[in-house]
Amino acid sequence: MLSITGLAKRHGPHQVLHDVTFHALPGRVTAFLGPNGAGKSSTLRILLGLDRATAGTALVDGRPYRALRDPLRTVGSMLDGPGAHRSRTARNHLSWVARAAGVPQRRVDEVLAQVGLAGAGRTRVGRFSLGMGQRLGLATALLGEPRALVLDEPVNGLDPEGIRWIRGLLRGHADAGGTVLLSSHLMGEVAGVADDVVLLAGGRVVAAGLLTDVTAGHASLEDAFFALTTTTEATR
Amino acid sequence: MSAPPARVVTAELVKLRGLPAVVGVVLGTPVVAATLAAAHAAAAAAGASAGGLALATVPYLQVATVLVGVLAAGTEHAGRQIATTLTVTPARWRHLAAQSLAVAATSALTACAGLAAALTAAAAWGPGDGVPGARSGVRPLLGALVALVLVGLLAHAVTVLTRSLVGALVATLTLLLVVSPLVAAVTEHARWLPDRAGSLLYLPGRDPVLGPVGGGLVLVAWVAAAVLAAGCASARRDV
Repeated sequence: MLSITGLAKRHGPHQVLHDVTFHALPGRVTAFLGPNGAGKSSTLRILLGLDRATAGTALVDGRPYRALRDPLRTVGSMLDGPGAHRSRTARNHLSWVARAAGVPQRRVDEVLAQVGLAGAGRTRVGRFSLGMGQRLGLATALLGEPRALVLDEPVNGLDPEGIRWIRGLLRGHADAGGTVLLSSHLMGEVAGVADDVVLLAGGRVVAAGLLTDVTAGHASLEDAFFALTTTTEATR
Repeated sequence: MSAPPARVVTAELVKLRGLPAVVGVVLGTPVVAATLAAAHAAAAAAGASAGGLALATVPYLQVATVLVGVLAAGTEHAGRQIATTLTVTPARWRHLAAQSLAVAATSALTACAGLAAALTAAAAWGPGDGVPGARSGVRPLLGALVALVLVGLLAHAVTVLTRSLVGALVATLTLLLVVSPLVAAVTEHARWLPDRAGSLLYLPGRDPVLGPVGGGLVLVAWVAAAVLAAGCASARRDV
């Protein structure tokens, strides 16, 4: 389980996150939604131990990410696309990650095939399209066969077939008992796969819960989001 | 600093091998070193030793180990690879130690190849003793190897600190190739600069104050200070 509690983050005079609290549960796909600049990436970066929170905690199965013994076997993550230097080959990138994480090298071929890059292992990352870069990022996340997946904007740059494929992959992971937390500013693209949603605006959680509860009384998730953010702005 | 597991060091070596620029530096260095040594040999006076001619290429070989150090850390920040690196190995000091060891090993390989090529070229084309190292001895060559590895580590630490490939490369090469010779022309205190101090490892007796051990220790102190600053910075700041 991923638990975010009372998270706050300040960059100089700018308060990026205000008391952000939510959970992502095993067996469920949790969509973390909000416009660009809402604080989604900041939250995920703190969860993954990359940035430090000003206040609050972000825990993976009750422990901070940095305290995990083999983090890649517990949480697979993707931030900012492939996360590989453009001059390396996809295979070299996955190979060093596997070594550092203590994952057998055979997983490199397995994940390349799983994400549809079996023929592109020797291609340099700089020659990848946006969608291929996303697939390489996903391959890195899947390398350690983790229980939890944390993905920042995974559908960015994917074509409709790719979006359909990733929805199937995430659904399968959750149905097998895994935890999936994905962020997106494209509400419609992830509404079809999410069980739970967390709506973030201006660094604050404006709604969190079952997709069906959050969207109740609204035509779509997007309508619900705008209705909720308008109310929040009005009451502040 | 916690010791990095061997697998993290191996991963850093795989990472370096995957960078075409690093492979280019390792393979290109012997060619450049041999050419330089041959040029020095052609211009050298009769009686110049092959070892001495090879050691004359060390200031240029520094560029190679600087490149290894700068590329290892600088490419982490081009394309946000650093996020992948630190999600796999979240312990900042452990990762820094592992990457430093990989840089040291790759710098040593590059320096060995460069020095061996320079020595061979100097022996082949030089006017000297013909048997490489016969007169100068092996110790200055080992000293040069140590100095080159330490310079590579210094460049690496500066890059971790600045998080900029170009910035660190310009800063380090300016220090070694511009500032150091200029300061040396003005004051004897230039001996405390990292490369000047390090040069006493392979040019002993050049300085009245520092011997080879003293010079080596001054360079080690520079490297230790830079690694400490880099480690503290990366442990504290957001990625």
